[in-house]
Amino acid sequence: MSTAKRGALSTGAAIGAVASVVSKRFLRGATLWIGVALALLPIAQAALIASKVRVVDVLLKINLWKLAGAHPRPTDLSWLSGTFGFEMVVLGIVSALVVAWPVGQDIEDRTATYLWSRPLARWTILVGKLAVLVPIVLVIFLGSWTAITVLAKVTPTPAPFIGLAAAVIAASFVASALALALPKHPLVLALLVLALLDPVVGAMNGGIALVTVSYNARVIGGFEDADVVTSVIALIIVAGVWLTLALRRIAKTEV
Amino acid sequence: MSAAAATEPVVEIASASKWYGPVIGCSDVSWTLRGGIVGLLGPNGAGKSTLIKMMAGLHRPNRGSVRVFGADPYDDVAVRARIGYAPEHEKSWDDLTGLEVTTAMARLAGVPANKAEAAAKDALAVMGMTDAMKRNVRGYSKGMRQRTKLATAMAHDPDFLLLDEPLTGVDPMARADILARIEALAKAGKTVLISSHVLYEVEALTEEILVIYRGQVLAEGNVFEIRRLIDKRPHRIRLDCEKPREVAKLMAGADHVVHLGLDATGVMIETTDPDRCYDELAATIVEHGVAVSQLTSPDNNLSAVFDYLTTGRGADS
Repeated sequence: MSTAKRGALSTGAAIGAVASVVSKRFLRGATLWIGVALALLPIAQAALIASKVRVVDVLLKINLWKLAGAHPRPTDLSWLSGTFGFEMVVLGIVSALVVAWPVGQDIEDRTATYLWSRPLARWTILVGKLAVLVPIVLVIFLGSWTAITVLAKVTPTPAPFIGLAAAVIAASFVASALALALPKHPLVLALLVLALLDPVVGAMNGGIALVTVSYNARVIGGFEDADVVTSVIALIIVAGVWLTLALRRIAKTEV
Repeated sequence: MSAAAATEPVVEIASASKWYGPVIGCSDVSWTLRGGIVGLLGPNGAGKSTLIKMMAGLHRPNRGSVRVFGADPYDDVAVRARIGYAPEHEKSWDDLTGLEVTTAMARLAGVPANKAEAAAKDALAVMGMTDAMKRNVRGYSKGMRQRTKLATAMAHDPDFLLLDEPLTGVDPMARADILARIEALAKAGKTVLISSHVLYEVEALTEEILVIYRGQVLAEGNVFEIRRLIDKRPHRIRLDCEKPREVAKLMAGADHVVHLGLDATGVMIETTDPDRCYDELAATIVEHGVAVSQLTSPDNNLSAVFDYLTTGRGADS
């Protein structure tokens, strides 16, 4: 046997090595494709709205809009507000599936023992996983929003993309913390919090909405008439708290 | 290894206790390991895996301390590069090939990226997995999973191997092969701690044992002492195979077989001489081409001996 001499990897190499194995496993599983399929739902919704708008445009041209009860086409992105809200719900589902599920599953089926017995700091394992999973969710949702803007025939503006990207990162941190807190049921817990509780609380009036991912993302995306800076700060705090919880949890979890 | 290094403890456990809520995993365990192969024996649920996980840095003791090569394996990341751990469970990364899993494990243990695959191939070759290493783990048999698991534990050339029940569920041929390979590792200077709930598996490898029962160290030292106790009672071996009736018929004449139990999927043999029984079973299987799905030992005898020891009648051992 060759004597492949070893020592603990540097932080960057450790994160890279974890990311490498996570990406190999993830790309061969079905979860990625389920996530992509789910992200098609808001696109379908936007396509439906776009086709309705086109009908209205025709009616307007032939001056039948009053008869049809149609209204003039909005000039800004505001009419995609509902679609963005729907994106937030789907993001909750996809984050639960793509982030919470693999993080929790490794602990539940004890394959985490392989990683955790290696000379790696626990936090590098979580960061290595997120380094693969977050960009995957980002690509899914930024791609989805691009498709929506194309279908809706609106000029893309940066704000919704920034809001969506911030939401993806924050939702991934929430999902990983929940999975580490309750690895037996990572999917159910993350779905409840991200796809149900977060949008409901985010729709409430008052300051409580600031603790949610969906509300702050809507503000940053330009779909709420509220202070963007406040929401940026709120979302950074929300994401930071959940990431800290996840890192503390992984340092203490035993498999 | 120098003489001085040989006397430095590989493991030092001082009054270590570990509990999970109301369940006690280990209670006030103190033990020192200086090298060689040591068998960690105990019935299921005795606390073997807890002890091993504390040495592997997966669990932190609630009380006391566990040190490996002088460092705390839970907090000291670097010392884990010197440890090779094979868990008791069979779960693996099923979407990957055996080579990919072992390469990833070697890399994660600190082997340079350009050498990890070669190290993995070497380790898989040592475990007799070269032919199957490019197949997905999902399609592996129990024995192949065990071999791959052992390869992942040794691919980074660790100084100390922690093998938790590495022979559970493997067929007799694989069992003998794996034992020979573990023995070769020890001869190459590695310290090996191998756990089992079957004394005869461990006995084939080493004379040094640590017996743990209900989370506490019950006995430590030479295997022959405890062997004398066990030999007073029959040892049970269960063989799940294609032709149980034929195997039972062939084994029935052996003078060491005291009882044979037969059902649709296998045969249960009670023997007074387990070594001979294992040898004869292996020969019968090969000679008659019997397809074996599993070989296990319920081994209630060991529990009986533990009871014997705990009631004080075996205090001398």
